[in-house]
Amino acid sequence: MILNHRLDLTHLFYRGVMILILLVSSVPLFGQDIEGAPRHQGRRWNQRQIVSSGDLTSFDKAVLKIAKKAAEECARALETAIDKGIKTEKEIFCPLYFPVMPLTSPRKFVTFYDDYTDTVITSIVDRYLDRNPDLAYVTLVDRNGYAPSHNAKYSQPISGNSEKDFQYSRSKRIFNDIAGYMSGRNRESFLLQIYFRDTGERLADLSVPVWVKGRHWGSLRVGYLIGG
Amino acid sequence: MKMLKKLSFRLALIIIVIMVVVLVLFAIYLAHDQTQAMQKLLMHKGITCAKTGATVMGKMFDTIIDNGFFTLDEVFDLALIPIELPEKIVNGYQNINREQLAAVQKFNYVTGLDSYLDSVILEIQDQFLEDPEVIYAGMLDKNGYLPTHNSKYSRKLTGDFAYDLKNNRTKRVYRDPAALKAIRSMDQPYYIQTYHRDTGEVMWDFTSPVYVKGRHWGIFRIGFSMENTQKAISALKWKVILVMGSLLIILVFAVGQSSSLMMRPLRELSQGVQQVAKGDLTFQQKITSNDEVGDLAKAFNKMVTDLDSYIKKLTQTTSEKEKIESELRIAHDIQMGILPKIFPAFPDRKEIDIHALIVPAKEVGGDFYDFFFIDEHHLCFTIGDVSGKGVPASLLMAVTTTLIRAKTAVGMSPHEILSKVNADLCADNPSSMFVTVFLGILDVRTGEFAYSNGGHNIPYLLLRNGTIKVLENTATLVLGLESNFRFQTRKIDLNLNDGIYLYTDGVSEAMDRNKELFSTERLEDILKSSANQSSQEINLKIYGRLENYMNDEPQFDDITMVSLKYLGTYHSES
Repeated sequence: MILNHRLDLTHLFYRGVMILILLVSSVPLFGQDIEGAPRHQGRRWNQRQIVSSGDLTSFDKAVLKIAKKAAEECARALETAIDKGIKTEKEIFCPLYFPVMPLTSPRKFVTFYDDYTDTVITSIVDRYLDRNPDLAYVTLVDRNGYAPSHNAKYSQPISGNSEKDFQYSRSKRIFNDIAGYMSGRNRESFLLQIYFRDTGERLADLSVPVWVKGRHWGSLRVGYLIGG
Repeated sequence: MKMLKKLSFRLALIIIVIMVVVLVLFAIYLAHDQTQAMQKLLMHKGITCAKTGATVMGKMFDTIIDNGFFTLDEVFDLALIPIELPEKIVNGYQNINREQLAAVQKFNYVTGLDSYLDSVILEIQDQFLEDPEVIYAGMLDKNGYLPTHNSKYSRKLTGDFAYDLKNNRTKRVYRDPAALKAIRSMDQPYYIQTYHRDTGEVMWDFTSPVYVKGRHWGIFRIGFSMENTQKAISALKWKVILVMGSLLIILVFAVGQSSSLMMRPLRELSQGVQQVAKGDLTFQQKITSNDEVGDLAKAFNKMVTDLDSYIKKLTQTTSEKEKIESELRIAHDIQMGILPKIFPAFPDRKEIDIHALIVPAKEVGGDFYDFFFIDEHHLCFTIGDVSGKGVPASLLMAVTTTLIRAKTAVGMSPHEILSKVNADLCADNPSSMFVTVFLGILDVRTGEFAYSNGGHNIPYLLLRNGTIKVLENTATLVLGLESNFRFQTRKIDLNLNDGIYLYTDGVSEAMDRNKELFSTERLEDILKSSANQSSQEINLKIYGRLENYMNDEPQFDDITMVSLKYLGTYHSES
């Protein structure tokens, strides 16, 4: 009778957890964050504005120039790896993501090539970020929004403080917010997405596609504040 | 064996045996019941988890479509493109046959939806695995394609086929019978099956359908380890056995102790009884309880006390009685001693041959005889019997013999003597006891024999020719009843060698085994054949016959006989 009672409690607890998961996960599942910006509540992607080429400001154009240069440099770096036999083309393009153990929240993933990008790509994107203080970030993402190697600033190890980790430990994540996901898929010459924050600030995310050996590999993303 | 005989031990044994049976039955029932309950609970849990997972997945797809990540058509576009694995990995699989390789072939959705799902549902699916009983929790589309598996089944590929088969199961198409059954069960709210995975594990597989915008998209599967449940069940059984076992040990101890405690007064009583049996009548049982045993002990104590006092009283009475009886015996012996017992009684008187025999019964009786010379020529002889037995009879006998000697004087005839004795006996006889007396006086010179009877058996006259005659009786009455009774005297003349035989009823009424009397007929027969025999010979002969007749039967009355033969004066003259 005592055993039964104990089992019942376990069961009850279990059901409670299940219901909680259901409630928590069904509402703010993804897209909670915008590149480089503090985490906010609400569905900000609804406020997303895609800017066409005719509407680019001179600053946007300047950033686009930098982004294209950086994208080119990253593409060259990946091609060099293939040419030198450090990584094969199949490794560079393999769409398998392996969760980092022990598990992190949000999940981080490793691939067949991220060890290479950690050494080469990080230094390239950091160089661009350092030279242009107006930029919030410069990073390479693949076509699924996966960022193998972020800026050093955003590649800090997991600290356990989830608020801080969410902002500064962003490397090796698949960005599943709408801006991040769409920037990876972009095959046009550029994609500029602008967000309106609750505070009135505007955030811009400019992405330029990266082509490796003639295949679309991903994008280079640049983020900056508008009117800040 | 000695222990087995103890009441407390047997009582405890019976209780323990009953309790063991009850406990074992209870334990079996409990284990069975709990096992079923656990299985039912697990089943319930599995169903709940599968439904929860399926619902969450459906909601998630709805959100993806609502927010413009993918269109509804894209979500339902289940076309796949194979993933080309890096050469390094493929090289590791060189020795693996094509079928097996085909089974582990990984795919992407053409739409790229699976990679997006990696970032979204992995954390949700992993949460189910926080329960150690859950082996896997994942979503399959209608075709059995699994876009995103749990983290633990998405390990980095190594090129070691066995390892990769087990540890990276994501993005594969599952078409094994269990998966097909699960997919076909999509129209049911949930489906349960036992699943033998290709890795060798056996588990319970729960399936629930995933709906996207109201349309069937796929299923959510969750696998529960049977091993864990079996372990839990066996742990439960051990726990039940352990609890019951310890309960039993406590019970055995408690029953043993309490029964021995409850039986202690009885055991002490038993020891007390044994002590009393050994003869210790001063023993008193300590009364420690108020129950039946206490009552028994009280009764026992009273019994022992009563027994003790009774035995003391009995001992005292017996010793007093013995003292009195021995004193009486002495008195009787003294009385008997008074009777002349030395024969020949008068060695210098050749005229008569007299012999007397008295054999007293066990109890003090009242027979007596006496003979003495009143003067030189007159021999007085008497035989009598006092009524009753015991002390009073004995006393009266002593009185009577003394009175007869005292009242007899020279020249008195027998009836005068009897009258005087009778008067004295009647004078002081409140208890109305009486005496029978026959008294005769023989003139040894002439052979004249005068006699008077006071209620006694009339003696026989033994003639010298061998015939016998009963003496003619006188007016007769026992002495001590009627003081004015007139006794008579008769006289006959004895010739030479004639004899007189006097006896008490102890002779004629002696009984054999069949309570048949010896009778005067038998006595007469003996007397008839006794001519020319001496007085002593006659007496001994008769007594010998009596002994034979009675043959070890107890003697109830005194046997007394006096035999006299008149030999006349010629002996002295010759």
